[in-house]
Amino acid sequence: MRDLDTLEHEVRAAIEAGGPDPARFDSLCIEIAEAQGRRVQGRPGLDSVVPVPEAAFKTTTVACFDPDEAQAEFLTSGTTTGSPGRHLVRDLSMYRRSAMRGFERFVLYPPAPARVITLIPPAEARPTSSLSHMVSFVLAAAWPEPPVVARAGDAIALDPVLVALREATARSTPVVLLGTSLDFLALIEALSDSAGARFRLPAGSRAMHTGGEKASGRELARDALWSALRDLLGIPEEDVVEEFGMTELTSQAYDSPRVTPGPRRFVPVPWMRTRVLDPATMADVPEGQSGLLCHYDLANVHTAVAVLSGDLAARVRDGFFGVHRAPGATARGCSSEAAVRWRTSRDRKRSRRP
Amino acid sequence: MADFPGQEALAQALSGLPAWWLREAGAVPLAIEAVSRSTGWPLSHAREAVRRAFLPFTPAAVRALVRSGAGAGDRPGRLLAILAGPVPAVAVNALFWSLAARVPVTLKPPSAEPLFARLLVESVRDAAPSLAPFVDLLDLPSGHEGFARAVRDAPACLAYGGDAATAAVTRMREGRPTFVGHHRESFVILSPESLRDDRRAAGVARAVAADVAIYDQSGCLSPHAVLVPQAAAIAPDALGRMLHQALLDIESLLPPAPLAVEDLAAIRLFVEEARVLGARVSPEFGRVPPAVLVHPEGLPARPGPGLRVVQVLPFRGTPDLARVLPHLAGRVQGVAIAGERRVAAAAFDACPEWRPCRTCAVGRLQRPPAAWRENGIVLTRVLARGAGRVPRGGCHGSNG
Repeated sequence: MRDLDTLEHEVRAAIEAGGPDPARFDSLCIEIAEAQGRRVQGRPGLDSVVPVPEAAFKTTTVACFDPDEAQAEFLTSGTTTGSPGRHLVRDLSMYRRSAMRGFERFVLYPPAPARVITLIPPAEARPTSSLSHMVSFVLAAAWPEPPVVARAGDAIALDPVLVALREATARSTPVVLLGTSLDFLALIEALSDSAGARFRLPAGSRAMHTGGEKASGRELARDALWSALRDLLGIPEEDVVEEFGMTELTSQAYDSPRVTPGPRRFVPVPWMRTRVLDPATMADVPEGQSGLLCHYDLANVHTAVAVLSGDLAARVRDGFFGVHRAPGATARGCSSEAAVRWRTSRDRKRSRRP
Repeated sequence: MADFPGQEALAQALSGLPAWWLREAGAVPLAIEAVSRSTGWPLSHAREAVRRAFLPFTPAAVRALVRSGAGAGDRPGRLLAILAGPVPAVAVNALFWSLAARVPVTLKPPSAEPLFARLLVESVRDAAPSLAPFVDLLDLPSGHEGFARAVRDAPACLAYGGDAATAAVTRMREGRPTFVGHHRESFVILSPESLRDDRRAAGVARAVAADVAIYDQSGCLSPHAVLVPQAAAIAPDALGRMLHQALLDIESLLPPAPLAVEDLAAIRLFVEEARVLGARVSPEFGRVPPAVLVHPEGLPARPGPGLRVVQVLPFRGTPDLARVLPHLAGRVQGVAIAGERRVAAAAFDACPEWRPCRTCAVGRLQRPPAAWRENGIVLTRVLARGAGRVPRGGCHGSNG
């Protein structure tokens, strides 16, 4: 049996190559599960891999290495009860590799944007957020124009966003905006309140949205978000990329219509597979039916290669759609963090009054 | 309003209801089909659920109940019974207990299953017409102003439901006589002698399964945990496998209601989380529910999803109920005991907040007698004494 360090090398190579040979995915996953002590005999294929339920990350240390060696500790957000889930990261370079290769594949499709504007705070501001670390990786990549971090402490800063959007429009250089549901809700409200804050961003501009439809008790239907980004920024629906990630995973799934045309659905990066399982039998549901999401993430080589989430969704082709929490599963997600306030827009309104 | 019939006539009239329902003639089969559709329980299960509701009210039991409700107390003018959950016995008990105390009753159906209470009230007109003036239905949703007014104005109120719902009713009542049936659960304690060989253990497993399966483990008398001595001849793991098999076997007699994917997800997540915490799961791999989770000794029970999921908790000596069932302090309705009761008695003495309102033999939890001490009181007697004297809560008795 190969050890996890050896298997890690193969996983890294697979990520660099854009994914393992599809025929190799299952056997590599099973090898990793065996080395992690999470494989049972007598069951076929991925059914022999015992998934770790998401809740276990709250009650136990899920790590196949000395926790003191972790380079980072990611915590889940938005819990209303008890302690957060904890995912120890042995080597951040693995996370960087997986996150960036996925981002490049699903978000940076041609024509590649020249600039990134993030409404999501980077890792320096949120050191325990896996999403913020991913944003930091994106910011550190080579961009033709300097990235914009539209944050001021806990609040979104509107002014830098407006400046960047004006510049993009003037120079015809496409941009990519990164935001959670709460971030985009705040941006939409501020733009709607600001007279003259309407943009026709150049073709190729896009948004990457992450998070569910309920943001701290406020609704943001996906259709409404897409319509607002089209109306306020000129970003067509096909260029609003939805990102799915979990603190307990190292890899992500994307709903990126330009890359995976057809019905909108989350498609995992090639080194991750998501099964939609009938909770009664743990068998794959037929297409169109709903079940529990079970993620097999090769990049989780030193923690849990299979994670049974508390999310339900419908199986759609090579992906899944309509993610919602199973009852009894704790509310979570980036948009369930404390509501972000638009500071500057309200201040600017007051300053105009005589 | 007309006067209640005299004692003998009242008992005779009340006895007309079980006779009518258990005869299964006339409108009853259609009523049971309607209950089946409303609850989701397949027909045979719905039939048994309705039967269990009326079985305790034999003519002798009804006479005794009516006798206990006699007296010159200052009875409330009416009892509003706010029902919860799908179990028909809840509505039947409220009706019998109130009428036996000569107190008219208004039934407010539960939102989860709004049909049976209506059918019960309608059946009074056919089966016990002399009692029809004393029974009616409040068929309004909880958010309706008419419901709020009825809650505020009722001379006495019996409220079942979760903590939030019953607390809301109590606040609305502003100190008026209110009997609260908040969330309670039941469990089982096995003695070593009940597990001294395979035959006895299998019998115990079948009896426990019968109490679990009826109503799909909903209702306050449903056992969610089984405390098993490590020192018995049959080990907890073996008992767990027997119990799982018994739960599978009983599906032919009491088929479960079909479950939505959300309920199945809750069960699966609960099972897999228990597995990670060290529980041995039956079935190891395969369909859930049913599921039996044998905990490692020392791992406490967690609030479970019901729906035929049971936690087996091994113990040595006297079980430390505070440690193994921490969420049930002050919330134990019933305990079924297999074999001698010394161990259970010692456990209750050591942890009085876990003392049940009712103890019985295994397999009898869901067959309480007509006048059992639900939530620590015999409602008929309390109403007959005058509802202004609502007794302090707590369970101290055993009534079989």
